[in-house]
Amino acid sequence: MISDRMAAVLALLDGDPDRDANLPQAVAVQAAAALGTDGICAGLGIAPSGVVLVWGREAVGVELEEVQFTLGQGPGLDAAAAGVPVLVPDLLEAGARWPAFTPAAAELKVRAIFAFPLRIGAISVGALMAHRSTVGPLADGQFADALALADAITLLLLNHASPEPAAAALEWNQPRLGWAQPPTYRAEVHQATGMISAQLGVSLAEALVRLRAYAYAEDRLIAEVAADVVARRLRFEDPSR
Amino acid sequence: MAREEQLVEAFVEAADTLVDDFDVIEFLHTLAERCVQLLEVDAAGVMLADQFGQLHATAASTESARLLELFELQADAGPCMDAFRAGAQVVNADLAASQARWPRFAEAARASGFVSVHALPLRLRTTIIGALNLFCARAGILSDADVRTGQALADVATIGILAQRSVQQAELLATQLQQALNSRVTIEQAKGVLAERRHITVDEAFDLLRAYARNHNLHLSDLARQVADGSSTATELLSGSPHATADP
Repeated sequence: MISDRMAAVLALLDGDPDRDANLPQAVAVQAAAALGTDGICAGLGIAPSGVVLVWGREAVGVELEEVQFTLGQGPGLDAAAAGVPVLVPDLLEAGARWPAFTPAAAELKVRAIFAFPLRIGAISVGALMAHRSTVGPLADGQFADALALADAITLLLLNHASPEPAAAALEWNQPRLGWAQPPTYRAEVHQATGMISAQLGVSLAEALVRLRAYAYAEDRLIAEVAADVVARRLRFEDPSR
Repeated sequence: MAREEQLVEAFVEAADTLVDDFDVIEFLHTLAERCVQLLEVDAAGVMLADQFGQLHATAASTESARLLELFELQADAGPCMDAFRAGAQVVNADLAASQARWPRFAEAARASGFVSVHALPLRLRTTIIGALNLFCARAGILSDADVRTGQALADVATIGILAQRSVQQAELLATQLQQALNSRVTIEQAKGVLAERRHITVDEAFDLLRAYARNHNLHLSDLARQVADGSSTATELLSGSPHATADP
């Protein structure tokens, strides 16, 4: 179960009125504190050449992302590529894994890094990195908190990738069950994502965004629209084809 | 094969998770299938909990959409949720008498032809990671021997999941579960891609995926990821019909 602190962070992410513009930066500070870390940042993109920092503007985090980007190695890239969390409670001890990144991080006085993939099934959008100037693992419960945060950020980032970002973002105002049961909970949402991706010849990420944008435009719940897609009562077609 | 041999084989399989290329989803599917073969039950499935304590359908003896929906309904209330929360068995729950306890679930399960339901916690000491769900379509109670066998399979499976890749810390356990839950999402995405490309139902898509993985000695999770993200080169699987990608 997630902590009350992280629940509060997720509620802030959920309720921020500016979320259609950018992820709320101030919340990153609270998220980092909830995880017992000094800073947190989210990078969009999974290839070493194409990671863009999209959340967290605290100086050390920004530099860490820079270093990782420049050197093409680091825990965040590994987490994104492998799709699993990469937990480094003592960076110097794990130094051999990232021979160029580790000394650079040490120069920034970073001693521990916890990286989490941002993904939904086979959709991978990037990684979340939390860092700390002291060694030691995440405390009990903080790992679950970080996973929940990564899920929330993934959904928000996909939102931003929407062709109609403002509209799709507003979809979150629909009555729903809250973070404990995000719209991606239902199997049919994922099945419909796969079907739409094949119907339109687009990536899964774009298919999910289209599904959500459609649900918003029709003022319906995403799960209902997904059920229609799976039952073949609704098809997404590319008018340009 | 005699029941005793089947049992031994099931336990050996359940214990055989300390190999490098271990696929949790495949493993849990086998467990669910074994339950149906070995116990007096008609359907079985495994639900694993995420970081919110929310249960997710992870594998089932048959992947019919109806059965999966029965698992999903338990996210709110159902025998799996009860077994998971209490860490205790829910055995021989008569669905006709459970209308008040789990209204939506009981109604849907009865509509699917089931009479009684059981849920056994997936538990190792104080850690509970989910529940094994058993469904019966015939009247009559599940024998004590069957309950014990089912729980033993659930226990061995739990140890198997937790022991995989020397899990010593809670966070590593959570990583395993996270991985399993995410693989499940990937499988749903792949079912959708395949259903669309082959003009079949998502249920049929799962059967095709699994059969292809078995025949080609691939992990279900790996194959599903490749099909879902479009990197699969399994043309025979993806375009069984000649104009699979053409507009209707």
